[in-house]
Amino acid sequence: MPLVVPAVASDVTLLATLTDVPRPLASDISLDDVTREVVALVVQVSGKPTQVALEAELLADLGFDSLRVLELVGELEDRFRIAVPLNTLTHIKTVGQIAAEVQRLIVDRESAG
Amino acid sequence: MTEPLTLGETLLAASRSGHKLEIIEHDGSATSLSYADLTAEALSAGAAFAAEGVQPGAHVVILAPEVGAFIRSFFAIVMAGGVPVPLPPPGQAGDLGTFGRHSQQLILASRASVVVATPEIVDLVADIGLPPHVRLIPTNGLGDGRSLSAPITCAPDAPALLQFTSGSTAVPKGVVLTHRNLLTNIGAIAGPVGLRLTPSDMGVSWLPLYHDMGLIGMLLTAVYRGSPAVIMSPTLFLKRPTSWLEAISTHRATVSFAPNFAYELCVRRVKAAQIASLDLSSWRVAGCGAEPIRPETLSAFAERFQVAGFRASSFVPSYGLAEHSLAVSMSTRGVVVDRVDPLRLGRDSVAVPVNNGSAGVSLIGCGTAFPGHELQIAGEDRRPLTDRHVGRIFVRGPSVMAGYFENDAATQEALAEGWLDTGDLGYMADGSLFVCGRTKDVIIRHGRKYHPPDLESVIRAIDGLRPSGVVVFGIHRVGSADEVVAVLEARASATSDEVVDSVRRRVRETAGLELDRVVVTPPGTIPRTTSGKVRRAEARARLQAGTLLSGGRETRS
Repeated sequence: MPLVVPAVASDVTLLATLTDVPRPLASDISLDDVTREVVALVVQVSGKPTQVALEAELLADLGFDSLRVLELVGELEDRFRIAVPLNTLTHIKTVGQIAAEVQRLIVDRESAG
Repeated sequence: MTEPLTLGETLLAASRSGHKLEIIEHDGSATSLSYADLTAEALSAGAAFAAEGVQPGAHVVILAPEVGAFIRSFFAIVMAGGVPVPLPPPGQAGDLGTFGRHSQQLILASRASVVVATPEIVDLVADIGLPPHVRLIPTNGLGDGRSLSAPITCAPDAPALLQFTSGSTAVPKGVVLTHRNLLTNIGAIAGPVGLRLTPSDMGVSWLPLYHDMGLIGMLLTAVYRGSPAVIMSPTLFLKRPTSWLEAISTHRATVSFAPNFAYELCVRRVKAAQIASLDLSSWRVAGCGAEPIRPETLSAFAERFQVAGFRASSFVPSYGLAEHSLAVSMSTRGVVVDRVDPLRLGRDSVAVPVNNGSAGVSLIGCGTAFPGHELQIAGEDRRPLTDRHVGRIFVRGPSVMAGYFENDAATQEALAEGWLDTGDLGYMADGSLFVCGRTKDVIIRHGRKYHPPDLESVIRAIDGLRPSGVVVFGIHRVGSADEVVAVLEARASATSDEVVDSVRRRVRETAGLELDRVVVTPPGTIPRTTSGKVRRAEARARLQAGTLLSGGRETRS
């Protein structure tokens, strides 16, 4: 059953409200699971054992260069079976924004499928 | 049939080959495009360009992250007699501001009056604020049923391509290459002293098409030979490096080039389970170039992918630069390693071989000049040096660029009596060129070039920092990636970790470059000329000798 989520959940506050209560996304994955897994993948790709805040910026705070960003996108696409559109990332800076975008893409996929 | 003398004639010849391009976009979607169909489409879109007022010789900027749209736009401009100016499309992760400034600067410098952009990014391009005389045309808006009957005629010595050489620079340098430049260089690459390509060779490339190795080395070389090729999105490769090797495996490819870092990425990221399903035994030419080649990378790759049928003898270490169309030389006899004494190399500029077991630095041979081309190693006095003496690499011949676009000062600095000063350092030994450094200040990272003055102005512009001096330089380590160092003078009160953090952040954000070292020093530390310009080479030498810092502090990552 598709979940009603605003078309673009782009800010961290909104993300926090969405993730306060675990909700079923579809078959087997809840929104805060998504956020947790996104954060885990960010840590894995960054190669540094570090705490990652949702406000952290990939380039400025976490030392990502363009290669790492795309590595992360590949991991996210494989893990969540989504396709990140070509220009999405030009608008996105923080981990929270990425998690929100991934959630949006999952919802799109679920409602399309 | 006569030999094609222009890019348009080259595509026309390929259209009769019966071969095709396989195009794979960033999302993995694949389509076939035969040379015959590409030719027909390019003649039709070429008519549309002509109708839009694109005159023969006019510069037309291409901004297209999509592979298929780039290739179609490129050849449409060629058919209309225009000169394509490929620019990097928007990058990743919130650097739209940089994309805008950079593109605007290069569009102005190119003097193009038409910019073509793909539908997906046309709004982004409109937003950067193009001057009123520049028209922005979406690639999907081309073609109205009319078609050219043949490519608009061009002279072989007319400009065919305007290629900007680096990601960002204060004064952009556009390399002007003629049809003859390009076809001579491609002919040499494909020819008997080069890769001995035949029409049945199958190429695979994920390299950016706005960059010379992808555009000239892979795409145009395939078109020239009328041979089939798979052209993939760089984004797809960087997301999933295994996609490159899968394409080689699936299509039984024989030729593929990539910079050192790509081979490294495959070693790091392709998983054992993925390797198990690969068959790389068809891969005859595994080219490596565009940045310093590390022997350890090549051997690690060969070792890891041996089980998939990869042969270390397939490696073709290559040397080249945009000002020489693309390739200067390539080692077609495999990986030739020269192990030399690092002390003598650094101190005396002589490459003295060391015995097995002794401490040495390994350099990789990149072959010798193509037929009809000359290569010379010369000292500071411009006198040729003998074997094993390190000097500047000069090249001469029909692949050397016509010059930099509207930049006579830079052209005169680079070209003298037909000799191109590459700015690179190297030596000859056993008939092979060994590249071991650069005289110019350019920093190379992941095949991209960065200019220290640009990075310095980024740091100077940081709010609240107000350093009294900044100098950025790369330390070229033989057989390894450049180490990038920033030295800044700040008052004692400001020498906090926040300063270092803000410098790193800003350089990452605006240039996409990770600084290896940030050194904070008291005012007056950085050596300057009498007119107050920073002396970059002197600063680098003092830092390496340990005499720059007295009371300075630094961080490493």
